[in-house]
Amino acid sequence: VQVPRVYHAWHTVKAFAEDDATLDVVANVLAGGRSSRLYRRLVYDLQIATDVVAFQDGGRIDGKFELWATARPGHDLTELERVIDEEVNKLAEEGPTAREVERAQNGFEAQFLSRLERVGGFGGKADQLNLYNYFVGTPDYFQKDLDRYRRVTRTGVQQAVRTYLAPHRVVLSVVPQGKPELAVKEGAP
Amino acid sequence: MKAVRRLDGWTVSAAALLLTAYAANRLTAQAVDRTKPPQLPPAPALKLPVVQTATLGNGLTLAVVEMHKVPVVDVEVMLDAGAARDPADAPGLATFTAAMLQQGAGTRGALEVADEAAFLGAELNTTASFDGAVASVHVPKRRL
Repeated sequence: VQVPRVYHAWHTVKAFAEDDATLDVVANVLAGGRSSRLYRRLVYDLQIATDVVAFQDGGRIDGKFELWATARPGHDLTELERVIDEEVNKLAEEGPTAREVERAQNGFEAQFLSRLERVGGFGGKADQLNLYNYFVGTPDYFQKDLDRYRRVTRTGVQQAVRTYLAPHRVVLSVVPQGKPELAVKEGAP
Repeated sequence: MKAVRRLDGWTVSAAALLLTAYAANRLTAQAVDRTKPPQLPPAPALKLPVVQTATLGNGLTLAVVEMHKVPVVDVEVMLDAGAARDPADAPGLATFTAAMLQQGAGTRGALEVADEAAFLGAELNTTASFDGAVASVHVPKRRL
């Protein structure tokens, strides 16, 4: 390990549960692409991280929301942790903008169409039919799945952040050998 | 960047896929004998899409391939600005220039370019190979 990375995991909901799609939007607002909140602050403005990733990982029985960020050399994970906490709290307090929700919805809709372009392979139509059959018991769920994302609202996103991205979470620091001082300090920020 | 002296081409393709309706047609509610592999029908004839070409007023060659199965459009602008044209004292110029296109363009900064593309649900790529530079978008038709 050359540079430190901090992982977060929150307990959320299983795939296709009521808040599953909303949490996908939460992940997109926080860390989906360069225009997301955490990429903008950590990577672009403050330049203390080289990447940030967030996603809702809904399984068949239960789910988790993961978020991780990699520090730039010379920066420690407590610095990253402080910004991540700030942005998560801000999203809980103020909710997303209308544009952020629409941007996420447009992105998910484009992904849906992309999955229809190929018959097989990972992310192709066969994969999608199988996924629906496995998770909801019917392969014919495309329209209903897309509709879940279209129904997501600003208040829904805010509520999901408040409900799920609470202080109860797992924080894991991975640091270069012999450099424990780079880890997230207990009680931080 | 070295001036681009010639514009090689511009292809536009309405992207979609050739569906093999075969699998769907064979799925019926009747009992299926799974002890034997299914009998495959003869391979369908290969039908390649027609490429329509035209020359635009500015000299660009426009090529269009229509595929209407999925409402998604791919646009590629291909320019004769590849690494083969890098000056001897500036190796990497074409690749660097193509990468920089997404770090700001016109009045837009890097984050604004990313935000605009994301808002359209578009995948925006700018790359250079040895022979040319390509700027492309993959975007739902209604956002084109």
